[in-house]
Amino acid sequence: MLSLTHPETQNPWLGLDIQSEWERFSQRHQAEEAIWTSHVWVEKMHCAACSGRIEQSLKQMPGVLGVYASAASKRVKIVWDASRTHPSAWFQNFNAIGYPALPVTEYHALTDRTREQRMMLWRLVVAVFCMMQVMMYAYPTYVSASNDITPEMIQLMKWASWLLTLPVMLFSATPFLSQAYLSLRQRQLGMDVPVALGIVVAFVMSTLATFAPGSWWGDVTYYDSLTMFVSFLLIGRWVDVKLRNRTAGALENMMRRIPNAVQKKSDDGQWVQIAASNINVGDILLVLPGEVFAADGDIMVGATSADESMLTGESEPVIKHQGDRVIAGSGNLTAMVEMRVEQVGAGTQYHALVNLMASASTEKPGIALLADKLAQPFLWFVLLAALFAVIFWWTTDPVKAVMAAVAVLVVTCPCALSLATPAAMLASAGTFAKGGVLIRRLQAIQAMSEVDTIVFDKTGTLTDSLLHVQQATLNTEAHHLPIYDVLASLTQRSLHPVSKALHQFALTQGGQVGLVLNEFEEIVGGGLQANISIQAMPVSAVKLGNAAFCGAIERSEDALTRQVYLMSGQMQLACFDLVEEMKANTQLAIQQLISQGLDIQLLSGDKIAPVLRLASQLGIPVALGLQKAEDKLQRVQTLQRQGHKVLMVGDGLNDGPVIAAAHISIAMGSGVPLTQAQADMVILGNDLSVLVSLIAHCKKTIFIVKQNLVWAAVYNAAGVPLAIMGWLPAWLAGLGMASSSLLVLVNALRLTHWQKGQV
Amino acid sequence: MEIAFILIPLAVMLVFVILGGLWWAIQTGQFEDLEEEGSRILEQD
Repeated sequence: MLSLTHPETQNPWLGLDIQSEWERFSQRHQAEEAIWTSHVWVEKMHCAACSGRIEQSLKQMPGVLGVYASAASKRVKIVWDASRTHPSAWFQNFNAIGYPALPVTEYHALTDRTREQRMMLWRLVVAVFCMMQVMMYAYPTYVSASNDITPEMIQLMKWASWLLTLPVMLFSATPFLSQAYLSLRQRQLGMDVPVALGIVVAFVMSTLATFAPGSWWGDVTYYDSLTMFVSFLLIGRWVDVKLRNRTAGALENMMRRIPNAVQKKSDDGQWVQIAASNINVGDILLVLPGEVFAADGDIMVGATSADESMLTGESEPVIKHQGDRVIAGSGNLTAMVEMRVEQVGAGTQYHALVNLMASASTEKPGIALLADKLAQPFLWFVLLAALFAVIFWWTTDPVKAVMAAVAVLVVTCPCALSLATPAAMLASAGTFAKGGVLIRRLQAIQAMSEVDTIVFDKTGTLTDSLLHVQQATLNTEAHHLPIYDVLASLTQRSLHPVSKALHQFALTQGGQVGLVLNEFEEIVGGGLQANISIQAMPVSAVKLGNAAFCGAIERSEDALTRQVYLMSGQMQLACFDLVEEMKANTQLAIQQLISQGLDIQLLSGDKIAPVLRLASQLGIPVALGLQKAEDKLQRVQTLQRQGHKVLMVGDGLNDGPVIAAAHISIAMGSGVPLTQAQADMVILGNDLSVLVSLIAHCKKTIFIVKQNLVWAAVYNAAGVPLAIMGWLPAWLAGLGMASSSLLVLVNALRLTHWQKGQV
Repeated sequence: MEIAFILIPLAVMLVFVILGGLWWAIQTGQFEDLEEEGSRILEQD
């Protein structure tokens, strides 16, 4: 490691040590001031062995509290203490161990991705093109009779093949060679070591046979096998890069949504262009149709509709009037508006969403951890097997001995094994994200596939958290009064769900806002009161609320609805019955889940009567009302003791302990503030029917992971003995290695198709 | 068959020329988006 004593002369990363700079790729810990979480992008991290090495090396640094590297997404999450270390220190460390890192800001991720992809394609094209030419010169020697071609011609074709193999060795194969060199210098065994060893040995043998034939290495060349092997390896890497771009693409797309520059109203009223990173709370921004809102804020001038599907799962455009809140990352669809910025950067819902996805992609599922642990012993086994092959054949035939060893090295390239789990899980996570389901931990996929019992919360999960006015009973003596105007004006200032429902109702009944309210007051647990002076109204003091608050006579004992009274003095003007409504698709979703053989239970804190009514409506066999959080917890724990795998579906906020206790939890609904949601998965939007296909897709994911692991294991178990016995020519070993990796990746690609609502 | 002694070196040289062309194609992003370019002519701008 480089010394940090004179960083000002050596460290190119010093610029990152200013807080405003590291804030661009880091988030502050919620409780601890000095603790930060940063995401960096490591281009050269290809395999489980690399990520393990990075984690090991960085964890030893003072002030670095946690390192989570994911080879599949090429991201590393670092938790660090700003009072003890600085970004430049660990960026320097990345350089020192041979894995240069870049901060994950949207700009870098984009250009590096394109550059990496082009470079990989170029290496592949060179290798494949040269391979085809080498094949052409190799083919005649395979098919012709012994004296058909003159020795001079054979020699010329060998020279030509050697010349065409040079670019493959010196350029196309460099990623494998340099990675192998780096890991050997670190005295570690990376996955590229056996591969590189095989390539180099084959090239050296062939070169000797070309220019100095006749000694123990004979005169047989392997340029065709060599170029073919490198080509196959590169095809594997190329598909890997493509797949990664596709699955991690969901995340990248989100991060790229915020525009780089915005139009801001300057002090003299002119529109000026500023960088999105310079937006402050209180700025007035001009947003044209087709642009993306760069910050959370309120519409000041104009009205438009916004596409919020990516953030809330709401597929319909949302109408935005003056004063309405627009959210960062949503798209402005129809008209030019001016907005006032209320929330920027880390405080926005958009930012919370991006963080959620970023942390999910660096999280390692249990199965992947197993692959990491097995990587090192496996590599040693490969080298020993190759050595065994050399010793076994050396006395009979040195050429065969060396080529058998090369075949062992090549055939066991453990890419398939290390890709099996992350490729499948990331593919699914990316697909879910596109469909409006966010995954906080990749383990959730595994847990989800084992679920047999689902516990639902009621309000906000099965029913809409919004209330609806079922019935309005107006006092016949008060029909001359503008009751709906009073109702609309009174409820306008309150954010209580009941007030919102009544306000909406009053407006649909032709009520107008605009009456003057005096001494308006909202009494918690009671209702609203104010003084309104209208002609023909007996008393100006108006109350709206429950029976006790208004002093009204309770009209009925119907426990299913909630009654709200509007009083003027002692005179009852009106009574409204409000009900919770079931969400659309709930009935269908529950039926499907039951028909899948899942045990459904409903636990609610609400009164018993409405809970039972809902349960019988939906056909839920077990339903309990008046459940406090600890009752729910006890119930879930009892189920778990009976050996059930419990999925808790709730609003993600109120049931903290239950959510923590359940095997897996899902938060429902667009109203959930993502920063606070503790659930493993978040279903954006209100559609419960996603759940059925979600469980099915998780099962399919785990099935594919297992399929991949079994395939990789079987392939290696079969390939190694064949290679040792010398029955596997080097080119066939290369083909086997590449196709086993490709099979794993293509198998994972099957997971990118997910039909919401279909099993 | 003596012509092969000229043709083989020529072919090898040709390979490097063609690779040069491919290098240009990749670096100018000719392979970046294979779907959109084909349908672009059908879209109105």
